[in-house]
Amino acid sequence: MRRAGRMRRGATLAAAFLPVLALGGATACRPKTPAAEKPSAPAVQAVATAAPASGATPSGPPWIAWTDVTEERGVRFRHVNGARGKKQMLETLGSGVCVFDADGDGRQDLYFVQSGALPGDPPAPLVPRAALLRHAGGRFEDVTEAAGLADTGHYGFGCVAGDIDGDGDRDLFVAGFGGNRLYVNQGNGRFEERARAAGVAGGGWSTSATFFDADRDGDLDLYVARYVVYDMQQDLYCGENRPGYRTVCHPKNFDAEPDLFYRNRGDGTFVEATHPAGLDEHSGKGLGVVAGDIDGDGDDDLYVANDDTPNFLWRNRGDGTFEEIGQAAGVALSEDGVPQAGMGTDMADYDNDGRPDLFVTNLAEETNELYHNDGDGGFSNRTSASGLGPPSLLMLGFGTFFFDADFDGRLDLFVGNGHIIDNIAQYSDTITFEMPSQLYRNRADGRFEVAPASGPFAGRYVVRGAVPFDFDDDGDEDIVLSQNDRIALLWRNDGPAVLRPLVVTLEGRPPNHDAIGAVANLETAGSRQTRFARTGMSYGSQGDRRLFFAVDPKNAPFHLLVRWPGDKAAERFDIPTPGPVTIRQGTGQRPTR
Amino acid sequence: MRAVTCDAISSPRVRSCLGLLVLLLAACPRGERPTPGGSQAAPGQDEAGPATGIAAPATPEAAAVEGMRLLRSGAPEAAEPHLLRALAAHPRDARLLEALGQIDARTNRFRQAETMFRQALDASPDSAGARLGLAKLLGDTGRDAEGIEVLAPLVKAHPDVLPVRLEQARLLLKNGAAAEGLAAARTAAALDARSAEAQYLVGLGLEGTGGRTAALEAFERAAELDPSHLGAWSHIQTLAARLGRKDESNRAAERHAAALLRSRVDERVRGHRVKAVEAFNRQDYPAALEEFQFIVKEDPSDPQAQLFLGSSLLALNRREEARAAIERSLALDPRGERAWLEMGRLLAYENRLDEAMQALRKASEINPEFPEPHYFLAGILQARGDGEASRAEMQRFEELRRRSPEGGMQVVDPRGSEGR
Repeated sequence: MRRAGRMRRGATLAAAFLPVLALGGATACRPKTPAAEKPSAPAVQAVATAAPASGATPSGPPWIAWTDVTEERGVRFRHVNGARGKKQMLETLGSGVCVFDADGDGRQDLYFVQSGALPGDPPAPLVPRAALLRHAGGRFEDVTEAAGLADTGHYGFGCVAGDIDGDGDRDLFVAGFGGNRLYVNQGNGRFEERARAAGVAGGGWSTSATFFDADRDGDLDLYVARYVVYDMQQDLYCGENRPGYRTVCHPKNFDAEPDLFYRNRGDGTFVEATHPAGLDEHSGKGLGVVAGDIDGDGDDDLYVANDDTPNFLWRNRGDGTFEEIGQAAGVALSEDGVPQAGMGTDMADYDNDGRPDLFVTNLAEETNELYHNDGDGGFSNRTSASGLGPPSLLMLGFGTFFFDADFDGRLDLFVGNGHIIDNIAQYSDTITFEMPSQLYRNRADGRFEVAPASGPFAGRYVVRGAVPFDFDDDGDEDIVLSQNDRIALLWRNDGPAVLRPLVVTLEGRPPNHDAIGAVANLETAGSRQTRFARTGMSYGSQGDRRLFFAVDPKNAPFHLLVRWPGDKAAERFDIPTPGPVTIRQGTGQRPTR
Repeated sequence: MRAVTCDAISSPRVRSCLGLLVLLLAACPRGERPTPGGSQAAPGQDEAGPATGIAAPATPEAAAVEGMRLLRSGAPEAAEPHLLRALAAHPRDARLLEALGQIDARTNRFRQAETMFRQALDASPDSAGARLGLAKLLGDTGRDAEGIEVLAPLVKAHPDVLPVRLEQARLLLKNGAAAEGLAAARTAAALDARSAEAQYLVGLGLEGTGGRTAALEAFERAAELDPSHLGAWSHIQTLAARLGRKDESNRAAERHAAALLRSRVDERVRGHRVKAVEAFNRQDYPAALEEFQFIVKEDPSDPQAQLFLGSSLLALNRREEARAAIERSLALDPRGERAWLEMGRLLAYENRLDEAMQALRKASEINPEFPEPHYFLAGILQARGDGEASRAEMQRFEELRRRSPEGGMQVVDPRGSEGR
């Protein structure tokens, strides 16, 4: 709700990275005396001052045990942002991570997007590159060079993987500054870069993307979120004009870069179809994107988290054209009607009513927003009612996803945090650059509570990409994180689990082998769990493609209803036991009238 | 791209360079400015001396008065040193502690603000301002439940005070207690039927408890009372759409967009700001003046735009108008060191050297890292025949300029980016 004081404070803190065209004396806009430099108050009688000025994360015994197994499992990647003191906006927003089977061995691998030297800067002595880490027996090994993915000249942000040419393997799209990369899988674990030939090289500043079948013709189309029109040569100065106070600038100083939509011709090449699809009617400063059937009409819609501009909900009219309904649907703004700094987003059915809800991470001094899908075309803002608002106020969230951390049949929520201003401590005595990640437990009454900070959750990070990934195939979902200018992380879920996992791999008809767009419903005694097959999500990232359900063995067999992409009627599959299972399109039972 | 450096200190180019530096300043963040119509007293003509108080009050009591005056006039930064000085003499003065807490809360020093408010309450448990301030702070930092607890005694003691009820409703609604929040909001609305915020909170409470039609009506009342209420328009748009009132939803969308645009003056004038800087840089001062006049008309509360307007007028040798603009800038932001610098330049042109030095020293006092005041001080001292002091100032100027963040930067000529 509107809070005059908060807005004022928000503006004050924002001043740390707001000023426009600034060169030199941004001191005219100085965001007040920095915490570190306030004249000290006279000695006064000490009174209790609640130490943590935030309601963020309680301490206490762990709910779920987590172990950082980054080193142990061979996850070796360090993101490099190329910062050289100019505080370019690019420096602070990279980058994402993708989970996908790169070599066709049936196990999903890890790809970390690299940024590297800033465009125009001389390359570093040891040129950083992206990393493809092959999943090999519970450990990961770097096969980047062998896979042909050691591209060092691309300042990357987000990635997404999918079978664009229907040949049964997954191709990789990397969104970046100055153009994109499309690495086409050759089927032998090697990739060839063909962005230009395939028509998706784009330009400007692309941040995130998603593959989805927009027009229900069976192949995967591509939506690319872009951020702002940014000129590296325009050396803007933002922040106070004092050594150590320069900051990245606020996006309000720049025009939005329109997003792009590419329609698949069916052969793995694309035609840019933003205008014909109606997706050019609004421009936002896009950072996160997720596709899914929001209105349950059988086609995939799009949700875009925009920074500083209203979020988009592009409703698919069913013919591959779209209309923007975000504001009318109630998912574009904060509860107080203000555009926020949308970063990451996810779409999932957190309350088991069968409909996908939306979650967006935002800037510090804004709340992350939870939009509940009411099923009538509108959403209710449940940020306050869910309890997700207050703990996010002093956090800056990026990567985020719903997942059932404890396998109780209700989706919990992960939020990876980390500020964008590395010297934010000069401007606030409370908000920090490195921040703890947050795990929210779904209490089943519509509310979430922050899980106690233990294990790796007690640490502080600068998270950007965040995805769930059951890397050890033990049935529960672990967490992969990418950071800005820091190492990637792998956190293992050590339970305990309430129920048993039923892990479903969907196999669709060619060319949509991974059944992107499918909706799977599991109904057991008195409960329903709905999962959605999709590609890009979170922040510039893509998670485990398998669908995870929590089941009680005593309720077996489990009846899974799958609505495959392009099919009007669902198929029913009776699964006898918990554990991993592969479901093929066309092999289930059609419901009889 | 054309690089400009400030190397020829005695040449006319320096003035141009300095002006360019000044003019390339950023837009000030909105919300930190005092409201228009606040003190418009000219610097140097204020009853308590120049707006920022060059002459320090003689006693802690006078400092407290001056600090409170500055805080009320919307100059928290200027108020802070006076209040701290007063607090040193009266460390348990709840009024001072509360005032400092307010300043801290407005400048992102949440921990320090909490300390101040709690110390104020420790010194005077009945301090309503401190209690309300602390409750708001707790809500703003994600501790709504704690805020509700802190506020409870105040609600009990002052059940008919609107700000208390509004804060209670906000905290309850934010904490997910829709029914209780609705009750508090209704109490607030009963206290003042003209309060748009109370109606808005009633709307939120009704929406949270399932009363969509009634919620829509409450939001409509809020929007009628305050047509700039973004939250009200946004909820009207959404609720009307869901109730099948498409036209009403579309109208609300238009009103929301218009209100949002009005609230984002910075964005609205961005193009004019760019044009103004470009014009100033090519020494087309009439064109720059026209653009800055537009910005000032759109947002008279922008101290920076007022300053730039003054700089343009100064460049056109329209000194009286320049003085008025710079004074408006200083009235809005008494600690705008660049405004003090421009005032110093103006006074120096008028050969009012004592006052010029005072203004320049004020600029330097506000930001000790600011090089340019020392350059002009050196010039004035040189003109007065004090070579040693002049050299010292020039040395200081060079020293600061070297380590200034802008010292090593190229000044981008915006024209250089054309055609890329």
